[in-house]
Amino acid sequence: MNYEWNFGFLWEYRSLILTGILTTVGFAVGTTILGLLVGVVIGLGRLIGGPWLRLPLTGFVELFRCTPLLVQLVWLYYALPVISGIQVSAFLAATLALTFYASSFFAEIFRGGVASIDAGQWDGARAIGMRRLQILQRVILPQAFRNMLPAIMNQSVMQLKNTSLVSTVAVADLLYQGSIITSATYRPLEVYTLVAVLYFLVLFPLTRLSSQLEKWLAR
Amino acid sequence: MNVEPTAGAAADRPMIEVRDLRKSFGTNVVLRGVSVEVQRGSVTSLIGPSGSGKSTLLRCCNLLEIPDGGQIRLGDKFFDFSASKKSLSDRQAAAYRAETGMVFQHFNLFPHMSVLQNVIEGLLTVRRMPAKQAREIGLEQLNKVGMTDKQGDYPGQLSGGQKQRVAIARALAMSPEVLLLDEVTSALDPELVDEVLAVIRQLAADGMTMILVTHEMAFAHKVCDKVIFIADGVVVESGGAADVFENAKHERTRQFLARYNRAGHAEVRA
Repeated sequence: MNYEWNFGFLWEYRSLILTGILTTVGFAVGTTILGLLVGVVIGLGRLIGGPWLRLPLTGFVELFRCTPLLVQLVWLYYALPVISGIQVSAFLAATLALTFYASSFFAEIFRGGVASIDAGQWDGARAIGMRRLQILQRVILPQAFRNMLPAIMNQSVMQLKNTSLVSTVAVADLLYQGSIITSATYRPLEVYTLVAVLYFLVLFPLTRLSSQLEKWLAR
Repeated sequence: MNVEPTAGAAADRPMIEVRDLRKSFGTNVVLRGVSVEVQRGSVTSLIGPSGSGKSTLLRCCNLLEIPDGGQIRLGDKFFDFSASKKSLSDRQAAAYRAETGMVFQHFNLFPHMSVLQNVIEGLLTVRRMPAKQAREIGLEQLNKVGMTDKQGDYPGQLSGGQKQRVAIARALAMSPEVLLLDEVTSALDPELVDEVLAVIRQLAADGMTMILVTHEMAFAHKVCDKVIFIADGVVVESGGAADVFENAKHERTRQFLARYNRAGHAEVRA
């Protein structure tokens, strides 16, 4: 193999790459936060709602957990407009798919976190006359949140990588910019090497932070 | 399900009356019609083999379990479970529980709160008391169980006996009408049992109404006014502590107490 590696030309495309990074990080941060919010709302609904609320929420979670994100994305972008007549922009389709997908996993993390708290904690709090929401707010969730943190961090790292799928509907994320540069330069090896390195540089500090956090929590 | 305050509790009426209480978990019938009376200021122990229903009875007294049938009266609060139990709301049950203290085998302290925070949580959240006033009551209760100097510690830093004393202080802070103690020494190392029993003995001397599920036979014999022997979900025998321990009428009771009596009323721990 005598491939001549040459990364120099990539400097010309720095602004495209920068927009790509910003779009990727922006999507990751935005849909992680939205996904967390929706996930907590779903989690709370499943915890305190009646069966008429629990059932559809669980259906939603399972639907988004058990189908690939890529399929959801493509479906929301191409199929939804056909069914509903509403044209969905690539940006909106990408945001919705990433948010729902993340929220279904966060809802499960939330459920597991609450279930991880010993039933004795409920007993102890009920015995002094606390009501369900008070017990959740004051006793269960503060402890459950600690247990959920590592899983939330892990899911957030996955979320950033999952954003790469939005390139399939032409949202200008890091991967999409890479494919643009590739078609202009015919040098995919350098381009995708750079793309991989950039993903790594963003995520590696995050996984370090996450394991520090776990150590701190385990104290 | 009826919740009716009955007018002015007569002085001679028992403070707590449990009538024909029934409770099943699925197909497992745990209580088959249990009736119990407890006088104000008395100490009653529930004894019996494991799985006999004594803990369930205690939990029903606090509505931690909602009975399937029967009635419970505590002071002027009356619950009839013979109809439908669905109409007992979270709010009603919580209000009732706030006035009946309960202490558990495994303490159930809140690990993310300090000792003092544990004790005053009910005052702050349930009674909505100002923090300063709650703190005063909390310190008073911690003093009663000899834990004032540990007020800033977290439950994880305490021994089992200390945890249980804090749990008792947490229950007392709500000034309950009755204290329900569910095998409060069973999870403790043997050398830590006495410090908890000493607190209970002091509460008895102060006139606290208590019902306790216990395997501490010597304690039940010496400290309790009344002993109720439960087996297979029914009350087999009840009476004064001395009567039950020394002159049990039923063969089943005698069998159960045989081990304790053989040991010459020494401290026997199950």
